Amino acid sequence: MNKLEKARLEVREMDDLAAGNSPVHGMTPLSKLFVTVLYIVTVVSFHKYDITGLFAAVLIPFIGYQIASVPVRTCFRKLRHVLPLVAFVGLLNPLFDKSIQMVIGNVRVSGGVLSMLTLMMKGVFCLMASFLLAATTSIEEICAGLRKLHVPKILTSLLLLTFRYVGLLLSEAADMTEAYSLRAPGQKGVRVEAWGSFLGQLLLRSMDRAEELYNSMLLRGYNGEFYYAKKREYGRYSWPAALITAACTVLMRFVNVPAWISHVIGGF
Amino acid sequence: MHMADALLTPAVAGVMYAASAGAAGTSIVKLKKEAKDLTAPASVKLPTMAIMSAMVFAGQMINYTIPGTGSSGHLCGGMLLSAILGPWAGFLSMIVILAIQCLFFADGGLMALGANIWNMAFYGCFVGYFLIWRPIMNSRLFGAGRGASRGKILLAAILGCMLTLQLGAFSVVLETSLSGITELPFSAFLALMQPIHLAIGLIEGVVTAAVLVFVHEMRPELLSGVQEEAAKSRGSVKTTLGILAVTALVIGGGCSLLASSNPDGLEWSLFGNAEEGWSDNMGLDEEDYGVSSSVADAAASVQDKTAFLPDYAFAGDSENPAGTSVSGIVGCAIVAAAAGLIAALTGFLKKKKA
Amino acid sequence: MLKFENVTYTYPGGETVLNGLSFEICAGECVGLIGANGVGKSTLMKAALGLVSARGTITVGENGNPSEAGNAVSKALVMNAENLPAIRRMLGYLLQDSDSQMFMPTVLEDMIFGPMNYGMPRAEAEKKADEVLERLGLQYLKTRQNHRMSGGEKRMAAIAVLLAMEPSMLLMDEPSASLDPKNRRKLIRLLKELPGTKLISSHDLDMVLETCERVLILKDGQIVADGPAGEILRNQTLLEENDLELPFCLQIQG
Repeated sequence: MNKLEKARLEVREMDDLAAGNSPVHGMTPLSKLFVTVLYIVTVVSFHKYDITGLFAAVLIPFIGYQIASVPVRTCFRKLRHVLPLVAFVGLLNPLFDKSIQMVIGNVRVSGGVLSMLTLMMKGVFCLMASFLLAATTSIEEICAGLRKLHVPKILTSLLLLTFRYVGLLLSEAADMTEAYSLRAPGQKGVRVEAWGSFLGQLLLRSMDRAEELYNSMLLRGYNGEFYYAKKREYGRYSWPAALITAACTVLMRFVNVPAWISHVIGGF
Repeated sequence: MHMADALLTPAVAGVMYAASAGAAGTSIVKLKKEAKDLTAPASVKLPTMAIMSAMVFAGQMINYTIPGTGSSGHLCGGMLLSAILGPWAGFLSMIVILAIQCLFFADGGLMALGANIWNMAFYGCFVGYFLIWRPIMNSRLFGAGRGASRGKILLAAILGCMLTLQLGAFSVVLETSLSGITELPFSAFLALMQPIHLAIGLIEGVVTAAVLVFVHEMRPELLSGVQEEAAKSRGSVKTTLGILAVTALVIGGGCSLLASSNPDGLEWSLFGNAEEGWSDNMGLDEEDYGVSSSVADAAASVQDKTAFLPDYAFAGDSENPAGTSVSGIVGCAIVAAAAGLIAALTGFLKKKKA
Repeated sequence: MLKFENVTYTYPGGETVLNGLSFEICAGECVGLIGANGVGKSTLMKAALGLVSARGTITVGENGNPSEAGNAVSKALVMNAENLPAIRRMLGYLLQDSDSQMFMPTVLEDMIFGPMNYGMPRAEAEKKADEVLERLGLQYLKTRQNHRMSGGEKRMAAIAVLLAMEPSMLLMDEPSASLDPKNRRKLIRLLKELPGTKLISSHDLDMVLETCERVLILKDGQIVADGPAGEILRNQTLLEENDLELPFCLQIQG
């Protein structure tokens, strides 16, 4: 199965997840967007050495995944996109920051190692939060939320219209690469002689399709307006739940929860 | 080159959101003006933008094998879209592509979206179009009079992709450094990023050029910014000078960085002298390292000015933010155990329900 | 009602596809439009919709009161810039590619798109959509996403989208193309049941034979034959002259 086909299935998987029915799905898009953004901002603002305090922040998306019945592992598969640059930036930290910031038994941990670890944790936690938003909110709902935030209509309509055709174009391109590879066994990609015509053909066909699509819109009286249907009834608990989650997030930022727990329990 | 949320502080991310939103707002205004004009080409129409976005989204995943190497290149979306749709519609289409990548593929973070739009769409669509694509298409210097030709498209696409990728990579370095995320000195980070992207830009440029040449041969009317400008007569000396200046900038800047990233020197400075302390050997203005000292000075001053940014931490941080070490780790273990318990419990409850 | 009088269309490149073409389709008729590839069947439909500007006179009429005699026409409009919106309102055009036809996220949203653009309030448009889906037995597709349907479902949903606009006349471009036998059968049943004027362009002559009472053969931009479906589709010489074949069901009998 090639990359394009995989991408198509990934879109489909997100679609299926977003169609679910859980208390998290039932929150208004804006309340979820608010919590997600607040969570991300809080997580990235943790001090680069505050590894224990940051660790507790994983609980919030984690509980979210449980309530929403979204498997956490689906999110970890997406790490392959985010981690390379983060890892590239973070891996060099231990070489530069050698100050000792933490002592466990007789192992001394340098600031660079801590900042590398917190950076990667931040990367993973932020991904978990964004993914939870995307997995519990369909793109139509997200666009409806963005409209409420006064994001211009042209952008949200364009986003929806593009999303409508992403799967189609992905499978068209997948068919083309498949047909190509069948006639060119052993090649990993498109060879230089075909560079232009390969995508060029798809481009020209797409332009024709765009014209047909525009005609179809005109025939049904298009005058710049799209009408969307209401997708679901949202729970009244949306904003209270969002605010409580937000409060917990902020609390975790100021109270080192793991340290507090061990203080209360073990008296360390 | 997608940036993750973790690489930015909220302040930098916010500034980049504002900058990208400004560019998007301008594009929308320009586009609306164009759409009112009844003779406007179909490219400013929403369906064309949508289908082209979806196509570029898919097209960027196709591997193009590079002759003589085992690796593969991809398409440069910003250049292609602005060459077909024009800069304004191209920019909006790129925003949509990046938003879908962010939401559905977790490619780049939600908070970093503004920065990603700037780094990958702004330069490709606006710098690439106004500084490279349109001037070259309408210059007489490269033969064939005004209008497009094979050679001009090749030149514009390669130059455009290289320049826009250099600017994008530079922005990634700048944003990350301003956010105080990396301990890597600004200039060293730059020396790592720029040469890599010079090579990537060259390959993306050739792939993009190949596609655009094909379009030019099949349906020349689809290329944006070619005919409309051909009608107007413009001082070609000025555009020529502009192109030459940009070319010099790309090649000069690229080469000096390429030279400076002398792998031996870099390896030596990164891995060879661990025990001797970094501040001495990673010195920015060391002769051995080879970064010109003016760049180094500028970088150092940027770092000085932004030194407060890494400490954006909220009030209440103790002097030892790692926490009293042992207790912190015990606490983390308890948190992890609690998480496991929650998972087990919800699993149990769901089974019961079912 | 649709009337072409001496209609000519030449592509910008100079190739003439419609060449002084004339015919009339009366209200309530179901007419098949057949001909080899590239004879201009699609262009003819686009001319009727004003998507290409052809020379000559094209008249489109609205159906009269169904209780009156069969071919009553309440108003007839001649194609020009002023009448274009009203003419498009009367015609429902089924595209060959349902994916281009349905561009909204879900079937319901596509069904209300047209009516709401023509000023119908949302509640009424949604009720209308429900009625149509009910009638076609497609209720289960109502909230389905457009990119999550099979080929057969897409075609049926596209027809539902057209019917929601209550067109006076349906123009269908290759409605049975790329449908499996079961879905094709379903489509034929639907076309037979649907009242109203229809112009169906197709290479599927078996379907044309089953659904249409009259057939037009198009060749070189002209109507070369016009008559009852049963006669024309049995005339082997005529069909072969126009690069066509006898319908499959008649070949077996013969």
